[in-house]
This record gives sequence, C-alpha cells and structure tokens, in this order.
Amino acid sequence: MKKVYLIDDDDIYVFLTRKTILKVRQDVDVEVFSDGLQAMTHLRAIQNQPELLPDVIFLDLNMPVMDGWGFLKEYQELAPAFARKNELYIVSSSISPHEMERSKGIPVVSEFIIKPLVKEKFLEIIGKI
Amino acid sequence: MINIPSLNNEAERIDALYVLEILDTGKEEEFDNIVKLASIISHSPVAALTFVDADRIWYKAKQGINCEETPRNNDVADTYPFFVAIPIVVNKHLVIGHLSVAGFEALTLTQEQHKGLALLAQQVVTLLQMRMPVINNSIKEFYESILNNIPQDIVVFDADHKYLFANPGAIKNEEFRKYIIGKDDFEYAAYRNRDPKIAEARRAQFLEVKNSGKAIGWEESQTDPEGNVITFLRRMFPMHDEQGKFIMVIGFGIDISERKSLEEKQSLIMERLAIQNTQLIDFCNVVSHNLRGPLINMAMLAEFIQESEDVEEQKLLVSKLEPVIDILKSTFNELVESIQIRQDNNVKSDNLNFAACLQEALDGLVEEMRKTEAKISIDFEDAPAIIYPHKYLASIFYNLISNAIKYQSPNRKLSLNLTSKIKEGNIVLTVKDNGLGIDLLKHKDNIFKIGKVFHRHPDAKGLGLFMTKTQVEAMGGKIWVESLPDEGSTFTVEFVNQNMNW
Repeated sequence: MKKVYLIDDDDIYVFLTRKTILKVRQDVDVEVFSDGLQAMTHLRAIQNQPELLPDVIFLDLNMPVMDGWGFLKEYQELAPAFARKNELYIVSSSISPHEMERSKGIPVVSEFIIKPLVKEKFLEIIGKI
Repeated sequence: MINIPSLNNEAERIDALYVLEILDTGKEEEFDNIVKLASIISHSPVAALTFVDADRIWYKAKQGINCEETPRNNDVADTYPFFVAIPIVVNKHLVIGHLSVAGFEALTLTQEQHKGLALLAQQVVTLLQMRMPVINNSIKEFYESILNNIPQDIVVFDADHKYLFANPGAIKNEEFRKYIIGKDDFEYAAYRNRDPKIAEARRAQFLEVKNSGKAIGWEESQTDPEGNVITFLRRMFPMHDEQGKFIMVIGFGIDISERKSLEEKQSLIMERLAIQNTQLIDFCNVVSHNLRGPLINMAMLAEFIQESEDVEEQKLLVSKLEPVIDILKSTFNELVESIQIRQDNNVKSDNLNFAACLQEALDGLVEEMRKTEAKISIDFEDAPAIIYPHKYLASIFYNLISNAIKYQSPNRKLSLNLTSKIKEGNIVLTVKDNGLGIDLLKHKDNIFKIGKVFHRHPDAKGLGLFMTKTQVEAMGGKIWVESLPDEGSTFTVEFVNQNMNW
C-alpha cells in the first residue's frame, strides 16, 4: 500500500481527487487534512514510525489556520529527520508566477502542480516511487 | 618728466588707479585749472598732472609741455634744472600719480608754495573722489536693484550676527526693513512682538556657520497670515576676506511651497499606486483561488458525471455541483461589487444617521442575531450622523457585525460595543466584540486582504473585510483592527472629512 496525504480545505476538490486516485490505483491509501496545522500535528506525532509516514504529500497553498507556506516552513525542519523519505508536491489553483517562483526556492518541493491533479500526472508521480 | 622705477604696493596701487577710471579720459577744465594754479603758485612755466600706469606715465593735464604719455623709466625730469613732484595719494598710502612743476632755472620753493602745491594735490584726490561716488552709486544701484527684485529672501549679517542688509523678499515692509539694519534677530523679534524662538534658532544656525566656516541648508515651514503653509529652503554661508578672516554671513531663502506640494502630491500618487498594485496582486490571487478553484471542481464534477454509469452516483455528483456554483456566484458578485466601488469615484453621499443605518444592517442579520442572543450596546452621542454613501455605511456595519457573529467565542455570549466619536475633527467608529480574536502577530498583514481567512469556519471566505476596507478607503478613510486571541477584536474606522455641518 502506498500512502498519500491530501492537505486541502476544499471538500469537493478532495472528494474528487480521492475519486480520481482510487479509480486508477486501488493500492493507495489517501489521508486528508483540511489545513496545514492538522497535517503538521499528525506528522510530528508519527515522525518516528516509518510505516505510518506518507510516500507522497499533495499540499494546497490557500488554507485557513496554517496555509501551505506556513506548513512548508515547519516541514523543511521536520522532514530530514523522517524515518522514511517522501515526496512533496504543491497542488494549487494559483496561477500566480510569484507563488511558483517562491516554491522553487524551497528544496523539499518536488514540483508545483496547477489544479486539477489529473490521473496521468498522478500515475507518473506514484510510478516513480 | 619724472622717473619712478617702482612704487610700493604696485598691484593695489594699480587697482586703486583703475577704479577711478581716469586714464585716457579727455580734457577736463577742473584738472587743467589745478595745473594752471600749480604753475602760478610755484612761478614755474611748466606744470603737469600725471598718473602712473603699470607701464607708462599718462598726462591728464599739462602746461608748458607737450606730452601725452611717456614710458615709466624716462629722463624728462633731468632735462629741467628745477623740478618738484608732489605725490597724489589715495587710500592713505597708495601713490597713483604726481602733480609736478618744473622750470628752466634752478629755484627753491618757499614753505608756503610747497603747502599750496600739497593742497592742490589733495584737491586732485578730492576731485577724483567726487567722480568715484558717481560710479559707486550707479554700481550700488545696479546691484541693489538686482537684490531687491530677486523674488528670493536675501539677508547679510556682519560677524556679530547684526543685519547689514535685507532685501524686500526677506522683509516686505520698508519701515521694518530699515529698522533691522544694525539690529539682530532678538531685537527684531521684540520690535515685531514675535516669538524669540525663531531668533534663537537663527542664532544657533549663524554660530554653526561662523564656527564651522561651512555653508548649511535646511527646510523650514511656516504658516502665513492666510493660513497657508509655506515651505522655504534656506541656506547660510560664511564670507571671508582675503586674509581668511570671517567677515559676514549671507542668508538665502527660496519659497519651495509649490515644489513641496507637488512632491507631496507625487508621493500620494505613489502611495496610491502601491496600494493599487497590492490590490491587483490580491485580485490575481482571488481569481486563482476563489474563482479558479470552484471552476476546476465544476469541470471535474462534469467529467465524472459523464463517465459515471451509476445513476445514484450521478445524483450524488450533481448534488455536489450546487454548493460549488453558490460559492462561485457569491465570490463573483463580491468581486464585481468591489471593482465597482473602485470605479465609483462620484458615489453619492447622504446625511446618514448611524443608529438608523445600524438598524438596517441588523435587520439583514435578524436570524443570526436571534440565534446568537448577542448583546449590543451603542453610543453614537458624540457623532450621531455622517455624510457618507448609504450603501457603503450599511455594508460596513453589516460586514463588521456579521464578522463578529461568525467569529464569536463558543465559551461566552457575544457582546458588541459600538461607538462613534469625533477625534481631531474626524468621525471615528469603533466596533468591539468579545469573540475569538485574531492572532495579529501572525496575520497582521493579511486581515483585510481578499480571500484570507483565519479560522476553520464553514462560512469563512475572507471577502467581507476586504470589501469593508475597499469601501472605507474609497472615501479616503482608514480601517484597522486591534485584537487579542480569545479576548476579542476592536475594529476602528476613521472617516475623513465626512462630518456633518451642524
């Protein structure tokens, strides 16, 4: 089983993305967090349990409480200590060049994906692992 | 007729001679008469008035000799058995020429004759000086008329900070301008019944220039009798004589009010441009997040509906379309409205009663108010009314109150406190709640931005406060928030120039 985190506050988008993923890969476990803080709290709790850590994180930027940038700030410090390596993708509806440029300066971000996450892209990502 | 190899202070002597502008002038009766008198007094057939130029001796008047000029080194004097030259002295020590008499027989002048010639030589100087004031006056008038007509302030202080000169630009009133000469700023302030603070400042500036030997400059604003603020760019610079001794200070002032107000206008425009630029970026973000997001959802839903062969699943998917469309619609409407506010430069203002406008907002929130059992206290006594666009004020009340309802604390009943006061001539409205509050350290820059929300709340879209800010700023006002997490927030709106004329 591959483990995928969806960190996004848009319920409908999450519902649809989960559907997209499960349609093409049944061996994937999708966990959802509706803002950065929820995901960060969970990651801190399980950071020493490799079997619980995700293979891939899909991170939205615009979220309440702790947005994607706030999450990345803490994640950068936390991730190197993880018991297992993982990939992080920003998945945002933003088409702002400023935000894309900003994400390039963060090494833990593998790629900036503009929503929606289509099945071809997901298969490519999951296939790499 | 006289041999003078070199005279003392040659350079100064030549300067003094040239200032007189006597060289190469025509025949003048006054000087001719002096030469005649010299000849009569000394019983000498030959007499001449000569001036010693840099490289020649020039004859202004003569008798018994036919000569225009000779080289400085000549032997004219040696050709006469009798020869006496009385120096023409200016500025106490500068010899510029001679009054000479000569004869063909050896002769000794009596003391009386000597005295007479000396008096004549002095008379030459007097005559020359009578010519000088004519020159000096015209030069003085020339420069004074320039100084007096320059539309700038010019003053000159002596080494003790007493006024030597002030032009009409500096002091318009002629009587005052005459008074100030020879006085200092303290005396002038007392004379004009003015605050001596300015004199103190001037003294400090003068001493700075005097002691440092360097020019200083500064900007200075004052209010004229009509109440206009006038800004001057002032400079003071020291003057030294040839020996490097400090002799005076020149003060110079230029009215830069116009430039200043242009600069202020420019920086205001820059400020507005910066705000508009930020708003544009906000717009880009809102289009990305708040419009593009729902559109993507709709597209994905449509695709799934098409692909699905299960009727129940299709129904479920269709039901999910509705909230997406609602969000899209309300976001779109608010965006359009905020663009209209920006473009609506000539929005109509009315005389509005705060209490009545608040009631309208509360009427629109009647269901929410009933549910929350909120307590509202109002104090609009200080400023009960305002001139403002009706829909803006109603919307400001509506957004601030619905914001307070939305973010009330689950641990206590919502209590709202609204006041309107006059502060420094402007109406200031405050809306204080005891709700969840906002962590300002984290969100300081984002509170009034579009699409920013700070709580996990189903209704949080982050558009209300952006709209409120847009409406307040469109009318030249300001809005800010003070807040502590879990204690509540106070929103303050400062309306500018919207007072009622009671």
